[in-house]
Amino acid sequence: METSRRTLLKWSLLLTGYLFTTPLKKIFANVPLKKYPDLIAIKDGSPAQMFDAGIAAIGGMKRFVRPGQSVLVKPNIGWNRTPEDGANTQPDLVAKIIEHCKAAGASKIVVFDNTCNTMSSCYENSGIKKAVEKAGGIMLPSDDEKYYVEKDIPGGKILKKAKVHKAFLESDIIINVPTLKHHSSTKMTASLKNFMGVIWDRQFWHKYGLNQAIADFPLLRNADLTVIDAYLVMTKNGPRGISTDDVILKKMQLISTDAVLADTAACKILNLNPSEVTYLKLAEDFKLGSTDIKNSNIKKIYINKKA
Amino acid sequence: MIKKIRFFIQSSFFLFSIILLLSFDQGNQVHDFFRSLHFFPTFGYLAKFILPTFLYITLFMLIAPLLIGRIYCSYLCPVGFIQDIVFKIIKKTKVPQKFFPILLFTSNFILILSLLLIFTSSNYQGLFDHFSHFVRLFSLTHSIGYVGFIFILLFLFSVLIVPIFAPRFFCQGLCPSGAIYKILNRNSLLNIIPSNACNLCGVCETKCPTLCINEGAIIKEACITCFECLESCPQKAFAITFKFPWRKSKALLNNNKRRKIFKTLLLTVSGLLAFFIIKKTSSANLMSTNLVIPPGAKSLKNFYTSCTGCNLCLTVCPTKVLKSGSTLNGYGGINKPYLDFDEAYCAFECNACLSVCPTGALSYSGLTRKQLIKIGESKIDEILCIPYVHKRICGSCAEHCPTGAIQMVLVDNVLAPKVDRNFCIGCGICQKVCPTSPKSIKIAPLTIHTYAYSPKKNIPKKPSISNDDFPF
Repeated sequence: METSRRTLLKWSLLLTGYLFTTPLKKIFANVPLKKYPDLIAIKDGSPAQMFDAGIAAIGGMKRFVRPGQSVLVKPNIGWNRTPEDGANTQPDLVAKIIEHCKAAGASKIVVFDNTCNTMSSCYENSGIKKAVEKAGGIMLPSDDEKYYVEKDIPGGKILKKAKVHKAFLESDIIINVPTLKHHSSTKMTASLKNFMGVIWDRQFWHKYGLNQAIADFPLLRNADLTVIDAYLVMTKNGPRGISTDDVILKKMQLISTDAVLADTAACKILNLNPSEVTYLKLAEDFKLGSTDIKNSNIKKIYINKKA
Repeated sequence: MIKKIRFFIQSSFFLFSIILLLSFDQGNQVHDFFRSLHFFPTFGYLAKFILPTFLYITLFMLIAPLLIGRIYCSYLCPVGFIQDIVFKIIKKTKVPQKFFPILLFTSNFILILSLLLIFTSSNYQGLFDHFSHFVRLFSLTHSIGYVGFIFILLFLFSVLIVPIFAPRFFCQGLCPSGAIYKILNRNSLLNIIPSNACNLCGVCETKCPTLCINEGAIIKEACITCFECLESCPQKAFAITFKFPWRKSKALLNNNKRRKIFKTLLLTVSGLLAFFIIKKTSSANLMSTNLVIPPGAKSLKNFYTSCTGCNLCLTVCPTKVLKSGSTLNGYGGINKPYLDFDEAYCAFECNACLSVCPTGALSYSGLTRKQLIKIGESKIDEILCIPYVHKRICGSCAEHCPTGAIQMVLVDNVLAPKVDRNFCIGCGICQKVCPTSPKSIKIAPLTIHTYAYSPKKNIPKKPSISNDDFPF
């Protein structure tokens, strides 16, 4: 086609019209304009307060959730224990995250965990079911094999296949909200280990090498955002805990897009050397994240800071 | 009107019982009233001369017919309701329905047998009790074993099929509580008597839900005092009168003495015979068993001599760890529950079974007390356990242990589980979650239940607070 003066004129007019009507921001929305910190560490507030401050520092929920997307919020609801026991994620935090997702325009927000005790008792007594339903999320059932589908884990060393909850595969965005606890076998449970709650046959991991399996699983899909709840930290007798003697009120929270980095920071909070938690090194070898906490950009926020 | 009121009360009580049974989750207790309806299993308490509060309701319910007749049977009993429904449906067809006097005889037999069985080491009376039958229907989704299944089938047959021909077949012929009610109702203060206005039109005979009116006279043994005849009579000839039994006219009491003595003798002899046969054939090992029995059972002996196999505990168990033992421990252990830890565990925060048991086989304990009851002890098989064999961490058992009895300790540089006997209560979650097959950690049952050490002793109510800064 030969370009005539008229067509050139027409096209240039159309282009200028388009540029004037569409804000420039919208075109470049996918390009991060600002570099965000690798890890946000917040302290001295309620779980919900800390999240408000932290998510703002990492770019707001809009950075992760686009309007119309579905979101999976995966807390730890493993045990039939109350929020004061520190065995499950704080319900206020889960509710706050859901509110942020709603505000960002998420179409559907689901929450579930494959619990260690009876599902209904864990959902009820952890206070999470009530908090989620109040905030507008949906609690999904997890206590039947029919909710899980078998998936290949690409590149998994021990875990070649796993039965994964449908919601984990179908949701557009995954927000991992573990609670930081001591663990009897792996020394620590936080974000990577929290994914044991999205698969059906946990005992397989125990049977064939727990540390390797924990590192293998995120190869299937990693969390888009990790929020580690270190408000009440279980420092011994984990992951279930026996009494209030096992927990310490630390009022901390870690937010990061890098689960391995967040776990490494969590290790330090538990007074552990990251080399003691074997699966962190294994996950780093898979390039799932970095354990190099010294060279990362960490932003610390202190709520209620005394002047 | 009476008919409609009766249907309303019956159906609402029926629904109420079902909702209560199905909604039973951890934490809430079945109302004592509900427990008291297991008339025969509760007699286990009487045999031991113990009188818990809910037993007063049972006793009242059993004496009530002396004053007000069988109102329980006609207005509340869910089993009776099922049969009434069947009767109502069939009445519209042309199937001949009839009252069979022989049924009054068989129910006496069951009654004598049940009463005798209360005082034996093998309490079977729960197998015959009407409410236990009803509850057992809801345990169908649980592991009930073949004995439980047979009993459910027989029960369904007797309340759904037989009442097509003989209305209220179960109540008249099989229910031991019905037999007690029948005897008491015969001597009741309350009487329904036709007056001279009766012209033998026969309308009431067809309307009666038990078909127990014959030529204008009510067969009192079979009457359930539903008062529907008062309404159905076109002449309004029926009247309620209150008379002391000793002042009743001879016509009211069926006074064929010779026949009565003969019947009673026959019943007693056959009842005793059946009782001795059952006693001879049924033997449970009361000294040792490989079955773990539920918390609150105290000892094997106490449990097997008190449990009537009503399956109520099975029905309310949220983790379905309770299974019916069928005949695993001889015929004496028939239908009595045990805990199977291979696929389920006894939930730490639950005391459902011991708060519903109507017999005292499981005595009630509050949750904090129950959490210390030791029903067994976990034992690790180091030939199978992964950390011992493969030198690789696993720790599934220690992770789930609610009392901290299983701790991971370094053995040959690998964290391996060790059991502290003092804290283990035998809840079996370690056996359930063990990934090896066969299981490398198992619960060994205890013949006599004891108490474990409390892991929560001298623990402050609030967690300690740390103000340290981030260590990075």
